[in-house]
Amino acid sequence: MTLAITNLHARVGDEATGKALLNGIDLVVKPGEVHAIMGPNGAGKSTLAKVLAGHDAYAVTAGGATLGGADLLALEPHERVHAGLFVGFQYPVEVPGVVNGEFLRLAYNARAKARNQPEVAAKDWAPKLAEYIRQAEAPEDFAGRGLNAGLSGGQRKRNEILQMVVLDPLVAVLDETDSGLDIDAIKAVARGINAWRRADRSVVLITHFQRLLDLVQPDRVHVLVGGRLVESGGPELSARLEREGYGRWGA
Amino acid sequence: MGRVSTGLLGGAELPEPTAADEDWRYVACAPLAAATDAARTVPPAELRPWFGDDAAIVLVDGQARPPGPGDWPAGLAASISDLTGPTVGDPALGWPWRQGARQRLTVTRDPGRPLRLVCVATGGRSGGAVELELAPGVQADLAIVHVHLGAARAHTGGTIRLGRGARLRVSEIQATPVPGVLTTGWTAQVGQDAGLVWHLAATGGGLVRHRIDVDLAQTGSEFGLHAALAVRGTDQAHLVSRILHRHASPSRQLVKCLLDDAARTSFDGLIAMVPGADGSDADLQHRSLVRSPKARADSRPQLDIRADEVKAAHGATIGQLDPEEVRYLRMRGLDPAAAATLLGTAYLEEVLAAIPHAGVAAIARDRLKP
Ligand SMILES: Nc1ncnc2c1ncn2[C@@H]1O[C@H](COP(=O)(O)OP(=O)(O)O)[C@@H](O)[C@H]1O
Ligand SMILES: [Mg+2]
Repeated sequence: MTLAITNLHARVGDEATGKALLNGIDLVVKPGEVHAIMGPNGAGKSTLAKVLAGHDAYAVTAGGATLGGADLLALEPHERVHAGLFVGFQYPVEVPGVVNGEFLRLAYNARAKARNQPEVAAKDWAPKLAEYIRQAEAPEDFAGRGLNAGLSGGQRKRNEILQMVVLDPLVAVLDETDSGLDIDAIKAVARGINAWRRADRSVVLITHFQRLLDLVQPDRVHVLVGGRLVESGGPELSARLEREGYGRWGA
Repeated sequence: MGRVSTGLLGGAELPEPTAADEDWRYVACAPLAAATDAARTVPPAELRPWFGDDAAIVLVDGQARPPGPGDWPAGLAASISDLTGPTVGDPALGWPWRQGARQRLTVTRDPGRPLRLVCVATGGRSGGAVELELAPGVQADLAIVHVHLGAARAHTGGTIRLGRGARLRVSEIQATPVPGVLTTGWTAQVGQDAGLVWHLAATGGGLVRHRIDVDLAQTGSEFGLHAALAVRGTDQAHLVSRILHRHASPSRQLVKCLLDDAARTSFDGLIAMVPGADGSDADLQHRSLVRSPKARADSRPQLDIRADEVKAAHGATIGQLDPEEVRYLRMRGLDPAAAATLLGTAYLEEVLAAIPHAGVAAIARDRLKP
């Protein structure tokens, strides 16, 4: 399934007082591809991820996005997940009291139901989840932990990867999943992503660091500054950005 | 402190409570005057599911059902006596009733299995009372299960006395909807180094009101309350607690209300510490999660502190579902209703997970499912 973003404009807040954050993004991610988006702080990278996920604080003012040819932005946030999109957040929300394993079962079943696939009963979930945890290289105790509540920043990122693996998307947008992780955790996350990759699955990695891109090789690298993609290139672009920074774009 | 523990009185009927009574201020009292169904005879098989394998006292419309074979472990049966007299009322509750079974249960050794009080109401007006005493050092679990099989007006209550070092864990649940009226009133006296922990799970009804008065009479007397009121439609559920610290003693109370539609809930909790209660430590927390603009949650935590060296904390919060949490769950594929259900379940689970009696906890979870 192809994710196609065309001339996407978005703002936060209302028309009068709001602020334009995305100023015409064009991006096509084809099945099997890995794209990296890099850029300085405040460039609009997380905004792009949240707009794609359907976060209601942001309004799309022009342009659009399609997933597999269907209008992505016309869908409710949960319908976008059912359609095959997963967005891993830079700051996953803590949900106190909700047990991770039970949440994952409900999320899995919601997607299964939308796809007319069999739902998993509570009693059959534990072994299935254990297998997903193994695939995602997440810590074994994640089934019984809280949904981000009580997890460290790094553990929350790893929980996002686990959610991705459980939800089985075709397009994953991962927003700074590597920030706040030590090198071993980054390696585990990278192995999780690589194990999950398939010819029909694509991934957009939003990152500041070359390290993750050494482990998950991107096909294309894009530079996002001021709500626009100002340059695109091959994997060599990320190495150059790491050396030179974003100064040449005035950032 | 209002009306403190006085036990049960026989005799004349008492006046009806009204919202003008201080501890009925949040209650919509109209259901008290509503018509009830006619009481009917319930076949024993219909009652079985409600008491399972526990040693049960079963009150049906205020009448004690004679225990069946095996209902009570040998040795315990002898400790039950039937004190049923004519009309009784409970002045601590301002509550009259027409029929009244009164059972006394004195537990002198660990009963070995949970005790259960099943209060069944099929119709009419009725009440039943239990006087429970735990001898020093005895530990017991008591489940109180309210079953309404028709529009009835039913009251259950009584006295609980815990001897020195005794421990009682009570799990009180509403096992069915209450189309009529359900009220309870318990007066407990907790002895030295004895502990009473009370778990309550209710879904409300035409009128559901629970009241617990606890006298922490000695040094080291302990009390804990974990209550969940999950109410929807036009139902109401109310909880009143009155905790008296006389000597150095701890109490902990956590009351969580979850409201939908046009539901009403209230928690009115008083912690009183009299001179001599120095060294006491009380904490009372009331949270209400209101998921509908038409619902109404009231809260009245009160402290009456007349001792110096004490700790007493209370907090009351009334909130809605956190939009950040709902949004996150939706961006993981849950529709808005599923997200609200998951968050409501998690909210109540803090209380329900603490219920020590698994069978009763399962009924409570099923009934309170948000
Ligand atoms: N909800 C919001 N309210 C107000 N300003 C926002 C909001 N979200 C993002 N912004 C602003 O938009 C800009 C882009 O933010 P973001 O997309 O998070 O950048 P990046 O992820 O590239 O660091 C920043 O200046 C940020 O302060
Ligand atoms: Mg960001």
